[in-house]
Amino acid sequence: MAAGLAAAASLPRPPPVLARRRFGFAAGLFDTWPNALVTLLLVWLLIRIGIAMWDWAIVRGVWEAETAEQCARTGGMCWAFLADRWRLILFGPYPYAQQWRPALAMVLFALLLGASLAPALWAERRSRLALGIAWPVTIAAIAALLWGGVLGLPAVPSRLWGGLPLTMILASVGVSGAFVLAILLALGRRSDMPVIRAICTGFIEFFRGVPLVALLFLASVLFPYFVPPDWTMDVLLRAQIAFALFFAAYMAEAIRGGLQAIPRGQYAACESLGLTYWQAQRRIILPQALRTVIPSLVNIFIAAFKDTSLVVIISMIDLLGAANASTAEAKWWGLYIEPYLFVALIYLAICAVMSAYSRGLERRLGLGER
Amino acid sequence: MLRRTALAAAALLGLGAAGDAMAQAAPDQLKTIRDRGVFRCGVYENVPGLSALDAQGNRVGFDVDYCRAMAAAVLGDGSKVEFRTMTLAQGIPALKSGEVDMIALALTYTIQRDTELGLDFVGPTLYSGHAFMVHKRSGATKLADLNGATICLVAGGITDTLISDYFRARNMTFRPVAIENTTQMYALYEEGRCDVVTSEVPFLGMRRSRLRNPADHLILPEMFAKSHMGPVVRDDDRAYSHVARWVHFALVNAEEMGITRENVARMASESRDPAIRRFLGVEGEIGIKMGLANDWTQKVIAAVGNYGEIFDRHYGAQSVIKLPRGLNALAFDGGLQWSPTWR
Repeated sequence: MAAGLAAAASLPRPPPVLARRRFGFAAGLFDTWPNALVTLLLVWLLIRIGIAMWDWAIVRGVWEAETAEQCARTGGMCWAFLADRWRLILFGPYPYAQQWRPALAMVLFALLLGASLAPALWAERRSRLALGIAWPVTIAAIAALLWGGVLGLPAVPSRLWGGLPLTMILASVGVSGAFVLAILLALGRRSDMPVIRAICTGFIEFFRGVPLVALLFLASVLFPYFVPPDWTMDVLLRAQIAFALFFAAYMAEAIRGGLQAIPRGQYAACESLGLTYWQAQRRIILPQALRTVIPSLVNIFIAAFKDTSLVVIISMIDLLGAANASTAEAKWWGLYIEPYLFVALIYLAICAVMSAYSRGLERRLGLGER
Repeated sequence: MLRRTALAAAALLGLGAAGDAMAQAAPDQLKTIRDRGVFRCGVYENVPGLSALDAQGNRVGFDVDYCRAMAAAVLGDGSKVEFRTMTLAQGIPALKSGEVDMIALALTYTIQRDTELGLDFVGPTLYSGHAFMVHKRSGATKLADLNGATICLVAGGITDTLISDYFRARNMTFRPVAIENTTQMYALYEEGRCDVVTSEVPFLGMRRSRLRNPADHLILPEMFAKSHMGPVVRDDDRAYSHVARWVHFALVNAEEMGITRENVARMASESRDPAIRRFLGVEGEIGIKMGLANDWTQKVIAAVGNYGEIFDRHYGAQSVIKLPRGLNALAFDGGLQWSPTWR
């Protein structure tokens, strides 16, 4: 008994977790006079804004109207406009009768992503295998749904894609492509091989130094001048590649920051264990480095998601472009609060999900507690 | 089945690519379009009345209907159009490079564009003129009050030349602010970035009705320049240019003859009037000699209606804009729209 205790005491203990101080819900709000005053002022403001919003959206809201002019009479929110145009904003010029296809594709994608992000499913070998199969299958299904031309689905060329599905494709494909490239670039920039290092550094500095708008123009307008005339490439794909290259440069620098945080001793330890370069990176270095940079990576993901709206300048009708287009017909012309509010809420919701997930991931990996 | 579809798709893709290559070599535009199977048309992205998306995501508008009419004439199907959205500044390069078969960007008909730039104008399909809109608080009530004003205008257009001509002739000065996008232009004007905004009269009136406070803005009564607009094609293929021009004449002629989208099929099968029969391709071989199907006029009218119907749908009585026909009435009714004789 006593011997066992002694043995336990001599085992190395895990580092102490920093206990946080616990506060009550209203702590810091009313503890001093100035604080109480500021709190009351802010509460009053919030209530005023809430009442104004309620009045604008509900009390004076217009539910039945044919034109923007009829809607403008009460000065309230034009629900009639949203009722008429919500599908245009969500799906853009995608053929109306076929819009269930991008809708279904988005549901599939959300399910796949939701499943892949659930930490419980990474633990077991079997469920990891299932995910490994589910990914290519779902991606193929999504592609078949969107493009059509198979299984009796009418073909829909990518220039007719639009709205939220287009935004999600640009963001998710762009970010995943960028992530893979970014890891290679970050490793390459820290490589001991001079040519590799120079190429990676040059790539990063170029793509980080050029505005995204310029890159998109380059991809959509100038690209055809550089290649033989019969050598065509889908404009969506070109924009997609421009996105991936641009964000890869940013991500690479974030990841390099994580790599630099790994102590030299770990590299030496890997070598002394006889691990090859790629083994060491995969098993030891990258898992720690990536974990450290989750906050800045998520930062870039969210920025990338919102920056997809820049494709408006190359005439692609993404979520924001569709919001612009929704008021272009003469009858709804001049409305702008409603469509922008509508898409702002969608952007906000998706970004909120992303950051909530990253917070959960950080908590689970014990980040911020070291 | 699946494999057959895939093969067919591959064959189609191959054909499309071949069509693209030939656009560079021989200027047989009609054949190029037919081989491609789709008519490529440059239109504005979001301009009320001219080109916009409806609730179902279909592109609609006055200019859009001219694209559909062309597709109906050349391909026999008004839905076989691929719209490329562009700004005025992008339009002419896109047309010259062969990216599109026609631009319908309400381009003003000018001698330079016609003779130097290698363009052929269709129409004019819309007759109008330029006017100025000012903030009422500026106190300006006539053109002479605009000396030294900051004027917002669309980049790539001819408006700045027109204004500077007008101003120079009267020893006046102005500061132009060129903006790529029309919607942005009116937003900047409303913010007070410029004192004056200018455009063709119908667009100006429509835009004013949607400013936050229409009563705060005044459209000066004088027009300072004429603007007669229409779609544009390249001028390197006469047969094709003829088709584009005669599509417009067909629309006007149909209105003159009282042929509408609704009655065109009945007219073709029942009418005994030889002029109508010739126009609709029931008699004679006018269409075939143009390199089209003989019944191309029927297809055009079935797709978009006659000129009056197009105007009414997008600018006139049936639209929310309610623009009077004015100069755009038929010549019979005192307007400027006319068609040569169909024989």
